[in-house]
Amino acid sequence: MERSAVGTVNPAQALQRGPRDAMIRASGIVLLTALAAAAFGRGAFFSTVQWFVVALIAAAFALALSARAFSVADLTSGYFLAGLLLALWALVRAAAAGTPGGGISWVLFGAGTAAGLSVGRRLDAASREILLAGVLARSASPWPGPGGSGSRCTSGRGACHRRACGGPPRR
Amino acid sequence: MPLALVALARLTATPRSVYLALAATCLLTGAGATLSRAGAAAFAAGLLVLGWAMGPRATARTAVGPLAGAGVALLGLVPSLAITGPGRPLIAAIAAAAGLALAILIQRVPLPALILPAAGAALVTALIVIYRAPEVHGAVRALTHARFTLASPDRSGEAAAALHMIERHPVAGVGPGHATLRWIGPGGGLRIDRFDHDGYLQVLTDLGIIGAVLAAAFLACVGQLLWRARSDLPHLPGRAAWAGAAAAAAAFLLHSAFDFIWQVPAIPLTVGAIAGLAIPPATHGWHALPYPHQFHERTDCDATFPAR
Repeated sequence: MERSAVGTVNPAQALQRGPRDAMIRASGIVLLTALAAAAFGRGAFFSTVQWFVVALIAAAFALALSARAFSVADLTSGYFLAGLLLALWALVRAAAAGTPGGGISWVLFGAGTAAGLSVGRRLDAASREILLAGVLARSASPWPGPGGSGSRCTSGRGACHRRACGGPPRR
Repeated sequence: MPLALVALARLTATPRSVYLALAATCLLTGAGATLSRAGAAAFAAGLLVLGWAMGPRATARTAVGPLAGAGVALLGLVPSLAITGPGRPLIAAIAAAAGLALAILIQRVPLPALILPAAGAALVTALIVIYRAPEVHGAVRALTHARFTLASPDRSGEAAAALHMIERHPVAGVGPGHATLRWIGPGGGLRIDRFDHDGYLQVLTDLGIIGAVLAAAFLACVGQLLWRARSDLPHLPGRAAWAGAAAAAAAFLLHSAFDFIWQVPAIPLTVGAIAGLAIPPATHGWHALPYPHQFHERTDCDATFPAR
């Protein structure tokens, strides 16, 4: 709409776009921070980092939402609802199993990915470039992986198998 | 692996970008260093998607530099492969530097001019390998024995244990984090694991059919969005962004069947964000998006590659 209205732009609308664009860009930066935190935090395999990443993604989504970047159509699209329902089901199932925090990785897989996708698709050109460049730069840098650099199976999460204590998923 | 494909896709749009060539080489080296067979298969699948979307010749021309560079860097890791022996960081560092330089060289110098130096380098490499063969023989033999095979007894054992668990808890699963997979390994010992090497089985194990249906719906909806976004891509950067996202998604979906990458949230989150960058918002058409489909600057490739 903005593009097709060249020559008939309402000055009030143009004034409103400044803060709105800034918030959308801020949402991109926060999303990049979340992805970097997840990557450097051993892939967000462990729950402490997972909660931090959840908070950052929620912040990115809230920023985009407050900039009115989302419409009802965005929020009721299939992938968003399916991701949200998957996250809710994981939380319900984890609570029923007696470990309410156990479903957090599925929350990140469903709702987190859906939120990240939604924020990503609303970014402007500059923010997209920053996000992609940041993600590539982060990934090309040395990363110890979920098990940490040179880790051995010594943690308390399991004693008899490398992957039980969070070794990298490779084979 | 998905990010390496994204870097390669973007490199097809801006073939002179040193940053992207180095990033792709580093990412491929890192992915190769994991020695993951599933990762290699996922990369191959992603490369096929990339070839389909960007054209096989353009894809091959773009990928040859980073692949060759990563190959050289990975060769430098061979002396460090033996678990019992000490690491050889100096050799690895030299090989990594040579690999990065080679990726840039292939990018900058026409391929015919590289044939003679490449033959010389191959000869020197062969001599070094022959000279050092006794030292690395054991490591290479162990590597080929473990990796150059389709067999994976642990995966088979995990899958059987997971299916047994799904049989007992089909609708709602056992709950996240409550799966304990037990099976008898090839040597007769008891093996225990918490995760399937299969994301699709893991969701069935943890969340049952309800969770699997929701996960399938989620993936299908994202795939549908991505598929719809492929149309109306008049400019090369837009096509490259889409191709990178599609290749990354294909690699992710294939890799998910062989590793527990859904339990490492950094991976699905990154793939989701990459897909988001290639999909327009629901309320706007592509015409309203400044990127990537509003690029108008002419790149090297616009003149070279046929419009698709």
